[in-house]
Amino acid sequence: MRVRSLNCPKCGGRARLEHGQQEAQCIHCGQPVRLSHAVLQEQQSARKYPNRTPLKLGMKAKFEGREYELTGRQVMRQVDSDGVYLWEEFVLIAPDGDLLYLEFDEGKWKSSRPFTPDTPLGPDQLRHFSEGSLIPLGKKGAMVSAKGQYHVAHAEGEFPFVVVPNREVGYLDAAHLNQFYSIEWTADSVEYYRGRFLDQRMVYTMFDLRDQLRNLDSRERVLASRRRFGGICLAASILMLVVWAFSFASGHRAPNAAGSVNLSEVGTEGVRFGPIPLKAVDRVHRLEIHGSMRETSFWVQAILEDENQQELFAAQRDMWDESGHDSDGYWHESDLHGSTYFVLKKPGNYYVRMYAERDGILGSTGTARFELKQEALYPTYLGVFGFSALILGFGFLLAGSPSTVQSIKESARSDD
Amino acid sequence: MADATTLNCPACGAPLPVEHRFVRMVACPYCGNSVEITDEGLNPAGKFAKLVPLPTMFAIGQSGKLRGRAFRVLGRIRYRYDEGVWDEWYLSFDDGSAGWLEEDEGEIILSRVERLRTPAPSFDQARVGSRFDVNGLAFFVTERCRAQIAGAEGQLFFRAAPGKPVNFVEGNVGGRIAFLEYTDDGIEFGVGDPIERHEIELENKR
Repeated sequence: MRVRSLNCPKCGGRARLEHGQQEAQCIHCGQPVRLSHAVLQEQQSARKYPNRTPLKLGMKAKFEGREYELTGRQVMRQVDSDGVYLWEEFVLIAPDGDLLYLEFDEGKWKSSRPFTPDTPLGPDQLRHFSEGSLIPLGKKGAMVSAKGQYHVAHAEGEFPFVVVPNREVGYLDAAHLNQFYSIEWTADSVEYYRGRFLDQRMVYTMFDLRDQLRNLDSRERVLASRRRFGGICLAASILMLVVWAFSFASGHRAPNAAGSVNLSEVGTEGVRFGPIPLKAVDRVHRLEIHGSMRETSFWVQAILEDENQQELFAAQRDMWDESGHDSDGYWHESDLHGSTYFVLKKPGNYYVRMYAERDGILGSTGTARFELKQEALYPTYLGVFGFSALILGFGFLLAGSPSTVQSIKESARSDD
Repeated sequence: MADATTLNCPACGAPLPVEHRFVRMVACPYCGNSVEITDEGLNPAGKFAKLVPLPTMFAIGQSGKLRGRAFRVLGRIRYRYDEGVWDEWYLSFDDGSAGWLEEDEGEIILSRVERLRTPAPSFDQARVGSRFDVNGLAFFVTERCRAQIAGAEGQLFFRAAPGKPVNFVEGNVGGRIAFLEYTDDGIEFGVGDPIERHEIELENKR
């Protein structure tokens, strides 16, 4: 509960007003004490334009070696065809009279001070500049980032000037790297300001806001650990994908585990090869088929059988080879390889039966061969884990980058 | 100080220091009455209210160095206009010249009077953003305001009666600052430069 103390006009004692209350009695003499109309209006206005920063009137700040006090806060309001746009400006005054403005606009901070430009521009010249155009300010020029009209919607505290409410002030903002410029004009004056962009940490450090700095630290630690995890995931994924690519060529041929057929001479019973002694129980094996043909297509199958001619696994492929001429010249395409993986459960002698069937009626012939490899790596899991780790890695790297987090927050804010 | 003379306040008899030949007016540090210095003698010119203190690095009597030139603060005048107040500090430099420092929105500008050699625009002609030729300089109008003298203390270089209206046109002349000051007494022209705070060294800082 916020409590406001007022001095009793009768005895000078304290009267305490709870938040929202407009009248109270002095605790010493019982005199009724009321909030003045001006204070009430200020309270209403302050509720309408709440402070979105941890800065408060009366705070002390250190900037560029000088000590300041935050004396005033203004909320600027711009109404245009895109809607209503608000930003906050804080006035800081040093005991030696130096003045510093701090602006908080869409999560970004900037400091500024009046300056005298070498090439003054007035309302007439500024008409020709719009967002994105280059304006002669500073040694290297600056890019116009915003232009419009604002008025002061709310002001609280003390200012070294009279705040004129509801007066429209023209403004133009421009920036070059970290340097920031602003020109403001009314019928009676044109004023030039320059400063630089500050990050949140610099502002919190200026005001020695230890809690906020601690929060920033822990948020940054979270981001850093996300980035670290993302990095580990990426490294792991690269490793897995390398192994995955290698797995297609992994393993070595089992004894007697190869054979070749002439495709047009394979009968309906196929051609049986074996025996192939397999002993590596619980290991991954790969049955491969490779075709060799020109301008034709065959369906090729290799079936692994046990000693009782019982079918166990099959590798099959519609193999084809085509070539021709088109506008790009000669082309040649083919699909001549297939494979299947299995895990050996029982040691023993196995056989491979090869079948082939011509896809069309005509065409030349070719050969097909099989190979059975043992001690192979199973690529599917490697691939799934490798690609998942890749996505996870990028995801965590993005979630750990402060600029991404900032832009996500901004888009979330502009949605509501 | 070569020109130092001591006069006495016609109201209270206290000694009035006059430390520069340009001084035309002194506010008595004891009774607050201001005294105009004319060829005929001293004329009482009314009483200024005490100036509400504003944050500043200067004070009457303060000495120091500005860009290496030794100076002493002789007086101060405060102007009031629609949007607030600003102060001007009158300085005498040890080479005998004089100038004033304007303090507005934290910016410090050191100016000196220049004799007007060309006709100046009238106050109403000077629109913000318009350009005039003044003393051969391209005077770009950045501000116009109707002000009045809100108060003064110490020794001043002109007759500053309390409440006296003064219209100002401020301009930019190629990165320098220029003023046209319109009063019943005529138009005065001044040219100044922005001074960085580190260019000012104060002796016996307050």
